[in-house]
Amino acid sequence: MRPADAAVQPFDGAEAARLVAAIAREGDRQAFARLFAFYAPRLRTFLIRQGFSASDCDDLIQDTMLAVWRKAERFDAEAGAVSTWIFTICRNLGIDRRRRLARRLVEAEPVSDIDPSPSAEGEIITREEETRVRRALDHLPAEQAEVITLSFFSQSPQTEIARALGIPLGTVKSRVRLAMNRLRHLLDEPS
Amino acid sequence: MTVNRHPSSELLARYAAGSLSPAAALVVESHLALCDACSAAHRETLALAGALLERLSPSELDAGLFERTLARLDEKRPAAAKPTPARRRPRDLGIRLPAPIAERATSGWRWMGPGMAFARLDVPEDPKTNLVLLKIGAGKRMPTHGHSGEELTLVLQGAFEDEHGRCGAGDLAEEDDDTHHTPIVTGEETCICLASIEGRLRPHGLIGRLVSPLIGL
Repeated sequence: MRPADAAVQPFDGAEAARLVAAIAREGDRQAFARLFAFYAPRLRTFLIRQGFSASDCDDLIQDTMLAVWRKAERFDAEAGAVSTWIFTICRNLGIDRRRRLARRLVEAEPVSDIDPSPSAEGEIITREEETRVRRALDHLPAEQAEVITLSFFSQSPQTEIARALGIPLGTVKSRVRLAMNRLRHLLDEPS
Repeated sequence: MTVNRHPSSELLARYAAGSLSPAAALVVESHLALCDACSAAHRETLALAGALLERLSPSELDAGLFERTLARLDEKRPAAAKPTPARRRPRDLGIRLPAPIAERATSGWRWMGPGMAFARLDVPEDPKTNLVLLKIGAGKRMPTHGHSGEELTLVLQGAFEDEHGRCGAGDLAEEDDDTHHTPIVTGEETCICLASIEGRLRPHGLIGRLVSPLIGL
């Protein structure tokens, strides 16, 4: 089984939810391969931008996808999107990893002696929130969407936004604020 | 509780992405525990991050990564780790702390000056940022300052006032190197704040400057 075979097939939110359901129902490895093919390379982009080393990226991608396999039956398609669920798992594992690394640098401590990761994974995102966010994002000018993506996913967002847009560092903050306000405005618009 | 000052969208985005320092994340989490509007905004921000994840350009993976992951699917699931009790018992500081920090070990209140005290919260996973509670008597004025690192301040009790207005219980103030700040504690009540102070060497922030000589920053 190769994940590459799955990459060429069409992929959307409803399809992703069906794949998660197939894993939950019958441990469908083909479904897992397709999810892996779509999400793993994008998780890697996120993790690299967060400043994780190549080996940390590999570990975190594996652990995230294993969690998808193990927790598939807990995924509620009526609530948030698969992407949000997978992102949240990866985010929490990343936070946990950073804490462990920091602690190990300070005091040689057994890894088990660590606070559990934040509970965000269990937070319920409503379908309505999910739909509003996607609609707003579709209406956002491309440059502002780029600013928001960079400010989200970069370890040093200011520098990267300045580079990406060719603007001075001093004006990045106002550009981010502008993009965020625009998005906020779109989110608050009645449907 | 009427909350007037909320975390900015940028701060919520960094929190959602997991890029805040652990101490700063605890201050944001404590605010979310007190503010329903921001809890909803945080969920929305996670949904936004999920949607953005789909749009990221894919990176090339290590050739064996999929096979290695596949080989682990049948692994026995790890037993849930038992929570370890704090090595120092949380002390009663005479104030109800928000859930995200309630179980943290603290130094207990230490005298810092007339009408001022601080308590340090134990965040061993974050050696670069300090998490402190500050207790400042009514009418006390803080010195004007600018600063280098980021400082997040959540008011837990009482209120202070600065050039942006009043900052009362539940409010979160963000300061960075652009901010200049001359806060004064208002009202009759003693003001208690939770603050994350970035940087070990030269904290210029309001709280950092007050506390640094005492906790050896």
